[in-house]
Amino acid sequence: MKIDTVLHSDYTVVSIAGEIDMYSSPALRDMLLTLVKKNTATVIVNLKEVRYIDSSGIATFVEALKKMLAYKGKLKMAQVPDRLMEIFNFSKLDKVFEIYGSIEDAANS
Amino acid sequence: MENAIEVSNLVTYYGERKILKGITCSIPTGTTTVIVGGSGCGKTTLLKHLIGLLKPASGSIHIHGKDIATMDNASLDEYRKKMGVLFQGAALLNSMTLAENVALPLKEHTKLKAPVIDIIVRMKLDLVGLSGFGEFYPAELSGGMKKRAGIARAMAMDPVILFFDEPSAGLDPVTAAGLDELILRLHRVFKMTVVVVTHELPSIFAIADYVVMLDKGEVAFVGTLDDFKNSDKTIVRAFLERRPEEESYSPDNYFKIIAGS
Amino acid sequence: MPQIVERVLGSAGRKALSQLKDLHKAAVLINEVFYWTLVSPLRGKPPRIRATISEMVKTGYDSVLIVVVIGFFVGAILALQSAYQLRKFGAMLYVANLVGVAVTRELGPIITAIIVAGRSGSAFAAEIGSMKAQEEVDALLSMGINPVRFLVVPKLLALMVMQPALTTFFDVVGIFGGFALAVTLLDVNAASYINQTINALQVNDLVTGLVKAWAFSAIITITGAYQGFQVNAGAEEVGKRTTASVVMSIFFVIGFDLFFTALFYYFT
Repeated sequence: MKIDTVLHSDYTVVSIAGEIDMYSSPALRDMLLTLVKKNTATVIVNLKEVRYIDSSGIATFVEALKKMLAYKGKLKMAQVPDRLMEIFNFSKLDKVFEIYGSIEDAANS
Repeated sequence: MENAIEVSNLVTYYGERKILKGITCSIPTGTTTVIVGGSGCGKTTLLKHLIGLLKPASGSIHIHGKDIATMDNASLDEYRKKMGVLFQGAALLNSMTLAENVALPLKEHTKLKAPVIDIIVRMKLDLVGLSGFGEFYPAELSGGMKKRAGIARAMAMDPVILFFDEPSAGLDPVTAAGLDELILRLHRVFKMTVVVVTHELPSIFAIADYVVMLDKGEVAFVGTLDDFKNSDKTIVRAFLERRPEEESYSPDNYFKIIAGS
Repeated sequence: MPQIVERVLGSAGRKALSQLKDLHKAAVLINEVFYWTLVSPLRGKPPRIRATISEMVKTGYDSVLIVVVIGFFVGAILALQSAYQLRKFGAMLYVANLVGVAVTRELGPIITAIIVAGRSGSAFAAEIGSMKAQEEVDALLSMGINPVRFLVVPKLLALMVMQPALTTFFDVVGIFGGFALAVTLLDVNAASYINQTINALQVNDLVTGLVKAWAFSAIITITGAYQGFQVNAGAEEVGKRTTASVVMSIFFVIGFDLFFTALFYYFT
């Protein structure tokens, strides 16, 4: 798994590539929690290059969102591949996360 | 179609008694396969081999291309992290709450932090319809709920293969049907390979894509559910129509049996 | 005649073979226990600390009261019994020596071991046995969790700490029991009893007692675990195995005690 973080003036884009599984998700968690600690107002997660996400990946996003809601921050998902969307739908997470087709849409909403 | 499990010439004994007499069958990836047969046909023994609890006397069991019959314990444990098992009695650890039971494999095998594990546990319990039961102990639950919790624990590590040992055993028909429904739903969403050992006809018709039938330690039938239903093999017909096996010995033999020599 | 010989030899052979099988199973268990206690921590898989602590509470803390009461009784009984003989020689003060040495070298370790075998060894066998009967052990295996590491090692570590601790309690209270009886019923002077005890006891006595206690803890844990793992199915078998674990533990404890005592006798 690879994570790239790009800071913009009013949002931060976290692009993830590869597989988010039990072994790689701790790194993702560290990344998100540093953003949370800095009270980043809007985090956009670009999932375009993610081939696979397991429960630990989803749980990591849920934990980050929970922490961000405490300071009214926003966690947005962009470019979610179909396979991941299915899992999000099933776990009712499509209602929990804000999901957008592109990073621009996510940034402008 | 690619095969998740390929068993060839599996032979095993309990003491002197030959239980499996050269089983050869394969289970395709991503299907729900049901292993059926009457009591004592060796289906539970076969399951125990597939999850690596028993070692065969001879033969091989290839799972995703690797032979688990000859694997060392370390590789076997790696395989076990990728599969989940629901035992007949659910086999939850009675000294732990449901949440602790589900968290156990995660705590033992991953470096995930407690908050993440807690969320995964709640997700898995919700998946099987047991939200809010995390703090209960197994003894406080009904049989059906225990089995659901057992499934949640089996699913904890996001397995690619899920095994069920007689999921409907000891349950009333309604609860059993609910469990079948859950197995189907999990299979549909997570697309894993599901292997179910059962002898319940309603279960077989509800969940099976593929059927492996054993009889007296040998493979009696392998094929799709439709082929199974339409098969004209005597043994399959007898099973489907719930006909008892013909008594095959003569009065002479009967006398010998009861006279005891 | 040949038939009888055949039958006798046959049954002896079968018995020997099955004993050999049991011995093999026990050896495998002991081997695994040592691997998961000593080797695997070096490879970065430490034992379960929290489970160990909870076992320490169950096996150690919860046994303190019974050990203390029995220790006191044994000390007092020993003082009375030795006074019965020593009175004839007017050597009542030597009650202190006898009580001190007997308790620290022998009775402390062995009676504590018998109490622990009855309380904790049996509980280990019952716990592991009922887990085995309900497929919980299989479930652990199927999750890639080694049952010996998960169940036995915490118990072993807990007992290895608590058994010497309980034995020390027993020693102290036992000596106090002898003292209490001697100064009240036998009219021995308190100060000289204490002096006599201190002079009679050597560090060696305490150490040999504690080394024994330490070895007994391993015997009791492994016997309990062994019997537990032998269960295949059924509550009845759990009961049988639990009883067997206590009898076997006590047998092995006393057997090893004889061995150790002989060893200490010749090599110290």
